Amino acid sequence: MMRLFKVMFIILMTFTIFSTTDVNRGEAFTNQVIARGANGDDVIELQARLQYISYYTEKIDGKFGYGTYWALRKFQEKYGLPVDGIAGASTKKKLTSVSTYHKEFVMEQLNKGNRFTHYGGVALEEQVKKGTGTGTGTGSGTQTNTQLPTKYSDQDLKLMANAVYGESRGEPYEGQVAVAAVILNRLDSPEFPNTISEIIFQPRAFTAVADGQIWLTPNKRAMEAVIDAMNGWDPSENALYYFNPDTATSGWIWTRKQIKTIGQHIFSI
Amino acid sequence: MKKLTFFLVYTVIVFSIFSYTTSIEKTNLKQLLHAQYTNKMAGASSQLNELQKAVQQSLLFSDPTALNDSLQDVWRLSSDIRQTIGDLPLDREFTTQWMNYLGRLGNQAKLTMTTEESKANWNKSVTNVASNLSSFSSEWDVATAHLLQEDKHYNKWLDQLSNMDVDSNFTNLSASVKSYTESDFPLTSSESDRQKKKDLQALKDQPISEKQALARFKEMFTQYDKATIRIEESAKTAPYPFYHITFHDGIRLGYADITKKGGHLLSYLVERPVDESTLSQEELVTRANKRMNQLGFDDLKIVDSRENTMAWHLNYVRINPDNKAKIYADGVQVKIAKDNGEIIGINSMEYIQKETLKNQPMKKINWKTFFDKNVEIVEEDLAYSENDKMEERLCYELTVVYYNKNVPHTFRVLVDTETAEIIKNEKL
Repeated sequence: MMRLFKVMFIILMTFTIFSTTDVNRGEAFTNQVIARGANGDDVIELQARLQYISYYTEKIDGKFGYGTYWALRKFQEKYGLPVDGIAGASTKKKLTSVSTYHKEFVMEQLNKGNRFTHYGGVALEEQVKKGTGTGTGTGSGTQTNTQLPTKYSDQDLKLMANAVYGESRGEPYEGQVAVAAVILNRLDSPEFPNTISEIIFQPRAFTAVADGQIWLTPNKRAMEAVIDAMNGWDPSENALYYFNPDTATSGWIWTRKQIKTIGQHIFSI
Repeated sequence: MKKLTFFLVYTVIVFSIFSYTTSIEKTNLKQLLHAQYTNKMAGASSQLNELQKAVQQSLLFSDPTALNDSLQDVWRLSSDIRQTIGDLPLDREFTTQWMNYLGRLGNQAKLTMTTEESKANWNKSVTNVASNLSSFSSEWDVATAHLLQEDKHYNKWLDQLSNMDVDSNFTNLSASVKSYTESDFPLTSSESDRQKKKDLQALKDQPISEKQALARFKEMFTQYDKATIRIEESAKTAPYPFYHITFHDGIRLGYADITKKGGHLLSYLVERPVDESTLSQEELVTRANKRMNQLGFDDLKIVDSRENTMAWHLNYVRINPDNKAKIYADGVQVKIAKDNGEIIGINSMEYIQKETLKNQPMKKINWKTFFDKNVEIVEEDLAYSENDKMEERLCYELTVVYYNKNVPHTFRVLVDTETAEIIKNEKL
């Protein structure tokens, strides 16, 4: 009787654990074809599933780069699929059938900014590297949901978004892109420091640094403006400076050659 | 009444103590800053002397090792002084000019360590650099002498340091350094070409009127026929003249800049809400290609695509019709909305003035001996890229993959077709 009770208890516990864990073996991807350059939840699932069956060993970050590309090709080769590094319907179907995706676990770790793996055969709680998480459990991971040109990092994006928001949040979108472009133009200029953080924190360079507004949380619009500037847009037309003529106290800034006015700012070199 | 008097007296005493404490703190902070700035300034003076010595020492040697030691000192010291100057609240124009000069000096020293040609150039220009640095050092000592003396009036001290007055010592120093930069490190011809390309001053096309620019805009973007449009010319001091068009049409708000000479599109960007993505990456790229062709960009090839929150950013490059090589310097960037595939941004600033390409021999390179045996070439193409001397060189463009402990690392390597020099090695 006691033995039967034990067996029943184990079955019940296993069933409970299984039903509360968000395991996905069936259709989960969207209908989109995923290829290099893509970004987002579908890519997270692709990487996690490939990692579950040991084809992908790099960081799960939702960015379809070369690491994901080679892992996918290897998977396609192994399962006799057309080897093109593109996750179309047949590849996704096969991958779903041979792997498992713990969506809730993966998304939670990503939001926390934790370092983790998604290997099959390893208990979920053992996959998170203790003490390495940079987040607080409130979605403060260090990565951003973007694909940037290789020369820029997520940290550059965050820092620039803070500067753009602090300096020009009341300006039209074009004006915000222009402010971001000025920072990047300084990066190319021999007259300014060589890194984005040095440019932003150069003494007396930006008002937002001096008055602390740089530490305000930027909105999506400021982030988008920085992404556009990083991708090449420069509405300032190669400006190195800008100022608000109503509030500028420096006489020097008026000696610069002006290019154009956007919103409240005059852009100059 | 007694209570009120007590309260008032108490308040006054508390307020006085608070004001006194704050004032003491402020004074302490000022003194601390003053001391730090003075320290930095004294540091800059001694570093400047060291730099002067290092430049002079580099004149002594023809032995490569000894010369390299002096050059390394020049490179390190120029970087140290840049750092120190950057920390000081000096006149901005002076700081800018001085940092520019030091940057060029450091770069030249670094380049001299690596190439024979640069060594000859260094020997030619270093005599001038040494003498200019020497006179600059004297001027710097004069300008900073009284600032290094004890002065209890911090505000006055700070005013003198960051003086914008045309007659200030620092403005004079700035003028001197500017003239040194021009004489010691003139822009190379390639740099000038690059600058010309960037500032588009060299455009030879006929100027167009404001009306023609507007017509050009409406011809390219027919959807804004009924939009509220504003057009204005760039400032008179802008390095190249252009028309700045801003438009507003329902949920769409955007701008387009068009050159005055020739009416070329510099850039175009629209801000509008973007709904959920419904189109595939392939479909979006097809639409972008078609639209770019309609806009007259018919010699481009897509080389990169990146998905972001609302849009995809696509990178196009011009293709040389003769050898089908990609010309990265003649690039166009496109932003395409994820919801309906509308082009919401074009940046064609670099495409307006096409690179002048020279004929270049193509030597066969044995990749098996060129790369490590564990490197696999997965793609081979031709592309133009800029070398250290800022010349456009024809290169073999190789995408290679290297497995380290089963982790693939992908690189794009550009190898000069004539000299086999690696022009670029980029981790993908």
